[in-house]
Amino acid sequence: MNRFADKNYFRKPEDYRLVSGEKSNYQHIEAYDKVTGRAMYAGDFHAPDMLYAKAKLSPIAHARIVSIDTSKAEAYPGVKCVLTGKDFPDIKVGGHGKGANKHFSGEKTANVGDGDQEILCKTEVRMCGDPVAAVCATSEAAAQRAVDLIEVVYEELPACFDPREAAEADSPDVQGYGREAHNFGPCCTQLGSNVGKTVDEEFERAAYIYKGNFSTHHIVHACMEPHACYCEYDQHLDQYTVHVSSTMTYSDQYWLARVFETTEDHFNIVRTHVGGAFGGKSNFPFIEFVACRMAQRTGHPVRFVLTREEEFITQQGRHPFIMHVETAFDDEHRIIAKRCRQLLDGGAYGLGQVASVNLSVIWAAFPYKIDTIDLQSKRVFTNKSPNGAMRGYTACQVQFAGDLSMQYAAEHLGVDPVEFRKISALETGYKSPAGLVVTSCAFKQTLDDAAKHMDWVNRRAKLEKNEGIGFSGIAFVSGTASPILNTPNQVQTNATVRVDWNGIPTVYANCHDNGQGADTVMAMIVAEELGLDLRDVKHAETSTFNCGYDSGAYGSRVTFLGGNAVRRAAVDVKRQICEAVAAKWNCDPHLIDCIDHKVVCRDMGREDLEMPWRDAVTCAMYQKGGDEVVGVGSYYHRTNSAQYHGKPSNYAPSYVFSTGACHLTVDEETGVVDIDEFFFAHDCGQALNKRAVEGQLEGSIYSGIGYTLYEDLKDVNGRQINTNFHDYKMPTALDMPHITTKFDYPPDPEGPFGAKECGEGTTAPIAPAVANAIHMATGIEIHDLPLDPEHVWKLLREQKDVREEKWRWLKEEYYAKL
Amino acid sequence: MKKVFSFNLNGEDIQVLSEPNRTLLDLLRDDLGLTGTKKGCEAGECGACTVMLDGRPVNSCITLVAEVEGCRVITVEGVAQDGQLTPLQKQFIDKWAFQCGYCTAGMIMSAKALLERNAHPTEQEIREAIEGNLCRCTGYVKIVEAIQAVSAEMDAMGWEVKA
Repeated sequence: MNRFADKNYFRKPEDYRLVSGEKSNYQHIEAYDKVTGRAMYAGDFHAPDMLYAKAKLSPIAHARIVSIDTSKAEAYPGVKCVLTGKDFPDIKVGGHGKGANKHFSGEKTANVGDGDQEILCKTEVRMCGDPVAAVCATSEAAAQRAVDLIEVVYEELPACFDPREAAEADSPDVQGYGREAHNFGPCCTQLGSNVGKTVDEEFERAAYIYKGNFSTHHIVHACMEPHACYCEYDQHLDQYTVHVSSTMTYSDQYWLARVFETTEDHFNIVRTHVGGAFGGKSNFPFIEFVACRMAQRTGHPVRFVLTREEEFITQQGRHPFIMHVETAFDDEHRIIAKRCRQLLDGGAYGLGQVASVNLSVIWAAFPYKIDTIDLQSKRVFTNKSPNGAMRGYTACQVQFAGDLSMQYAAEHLGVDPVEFRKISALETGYKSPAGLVVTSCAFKQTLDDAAKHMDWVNRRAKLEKNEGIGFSGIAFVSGTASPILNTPNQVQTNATVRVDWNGIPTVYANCHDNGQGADTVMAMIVAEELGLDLRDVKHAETSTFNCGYDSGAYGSRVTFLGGNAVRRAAVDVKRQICEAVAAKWNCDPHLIDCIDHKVVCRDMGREDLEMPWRDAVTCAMYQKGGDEVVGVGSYYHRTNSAQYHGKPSNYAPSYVFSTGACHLTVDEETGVVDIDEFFFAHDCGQALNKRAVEGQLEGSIYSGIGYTLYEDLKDVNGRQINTNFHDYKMPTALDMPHITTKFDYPPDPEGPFGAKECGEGTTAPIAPAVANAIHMATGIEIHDLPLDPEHVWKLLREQKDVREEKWRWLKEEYYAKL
Repeated sequence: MKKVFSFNLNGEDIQVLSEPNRTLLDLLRDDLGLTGTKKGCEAGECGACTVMLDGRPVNSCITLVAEVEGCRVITVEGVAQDGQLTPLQKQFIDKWAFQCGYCTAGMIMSAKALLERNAHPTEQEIREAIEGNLCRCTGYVKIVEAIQAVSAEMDAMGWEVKA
């Protein structure tokens, strides 16, 4: 990282032209392509001689492969290539890459670096949907027919589906780690105290301890674009050009090189438009390896697009959690200690498993000041489709348990739930026992704003039966440390800004744009620093061959890390130009600035000196003998990997805080929950593009409502049973409530122009806010997700005897007397 | 057995040679290269493949080529006229009514069909019209706003702008 980037050249907040005020409202730079249908997604690439690929998937959750007979498929007209596990070396993918093992130690760490997923299974399938063979043919129909002709003989093995059973001594061994491993992948424990006490000692002196068990269910990303890959092979150069729906192309390149037992320079991974990711495209689907191998074997371009059903059964989802939480409060209602035990259902493979356990421990203490902690997460393998990163990665589950604990504790202690959260709320400057340092925090303001918007104090004791208002506060990371997810290297971003002889700046940054507007914000950052308009800055279409490394779009890192890298590259250009012009004007380069397409002098008494931008670029090139002005920048979060060893370290460069609040009604007869209003206050520092931030928050509320009330992926003996959009319910335009968002909070000292994360962690407060509102409306105590009509209906009947009384107590005693 | 089918696509009369049971979506994307219409579920549930068939929005993934014989088909590529974006497309851009853009083609076709039959829909009517178009990014808020804005624009101009 360019730590010595000359911050003297950074645009000062008082001079911001684009990032603050009403002007900070831009259109997507790829807008025209998206509204006219010209934007190309991986599955849109097409060539006249292209072949279509399809895969044979395992129908059994756990089995030994006895034999695979592909002879009929090979003989089928139009078939060009049939692959099985034999066509790939014994290299498994999906791990954290080289270097990860040395960063990660603990109770069980096997293979977190190497990966554990075969491209096509050779001897054993570990879940329904594991691919065992693949075919490509001249038409999709021929490929599908040939796949059907492949005969696979399986010998079924005992399987385990329940994470608790999987962790028992006599359970079937999913990953072959040996019985003593009890199917555990990595575990993470954070033990620590800011006050030199143990959790037991603090529990001893506590005035009240809330203890509760919670669980969450299984959902999937269901991006509108299924995973797709289009590959061309150049035999002369031994080079693959790959268009893949991925948000971490450098990691794709890393694993392709490993699997093809060659080096990265053979794989040009082109960054295409991605049709939604939400974490689900931060993996390495088998289709890209299969398509590359087929392109190599046949000489034809190969396209492999998963069907919706295949997308459901072969790709990752959100971890189901089982949680036990104990939170201790002192007599001033302050949290003094917390203990939790979390069990993650990982499915058959690891994916970014280190991140899931580590993050879930971090969230367990958020968003509160808790001086003494004993937090533990364990991830267990089961014979089901794997779980990995998904919008609000493990925060949606952990903070559901954490926030409901706060709600129930507030009621027990007779304190207003909003005020109760404020007592222990994180503040700027707090350092947690886990080593996390809060550099900017407006959590209390978000709580106040939510309470004000909902008119909470006036309404809380006046709501009718079956009507409720719920609040929930959460925190999330803004960017990540190394190395999480399947990242092979440091999780840095490199960026280059090149200015040509016409004065046109082009930004080369491989920051993935999944629709969140990354390309737009990067161009805007360059325009702001160089004093130009957004349209003056061009965005290069990037691939792994023409721009610097970026570890991918995950961990809420793009704006923070990518934005900082791009800003440094732009400032590197600015410095060179200011120095060149300073030499001509004979003044201090720090007194020169780029404003409104001009380079101007701010030296006292010489303010009339100015030069058009293009002349200044020519001046700089002239002084350098005709060389173009090129600026480079990089950024990563400076920390160490102690967090992975259960020791304190500052995991992220910054943290964000949100409060969600909703008003809803519950139909006692049917269990249907109708949310009519949602308010969301999010501390994302300085918003760089207001429309984009609004869009992210509205999308988060949508995702959270889907998670809470609609979506539930069910399986029977490891076989998913609702793998289509008819049976897997997602909210439609008719299901969404009225939404209000607020995000006007102080800037972060380290973020680009003061910006922080927006749009990932913001999914986490939705479920607890809805649950708290249902609790207020009906008196039922909620501990589990989902809250679809069936589950709410059941709870209403199960708690029939107590909920009436509870509801009356809430209204007439608790809320009335606050 | 392939047959010749004639229909009007984005204003041009065309003839295609196709299996009668090929879906309109596959024909558009793979045979005619119009990949703006997206494939999301192949079961008529997500709406990403919505096109206009004689003025009605239909899911092209469950429409067979044989069904469009003699019909007028408009895809997202046929919305802008003479290189000019329509008010609907401009409002989608202005209001950030898309993020990843994968559902956008279908959304625009459903919205266009709505505004052509009802230039001043209520919010409820807008939501009903796009109910069959799933979007995972936006929460539908800005999509509804964009369609409302087109309708208001039609009002303000005092004449019926072609959506």
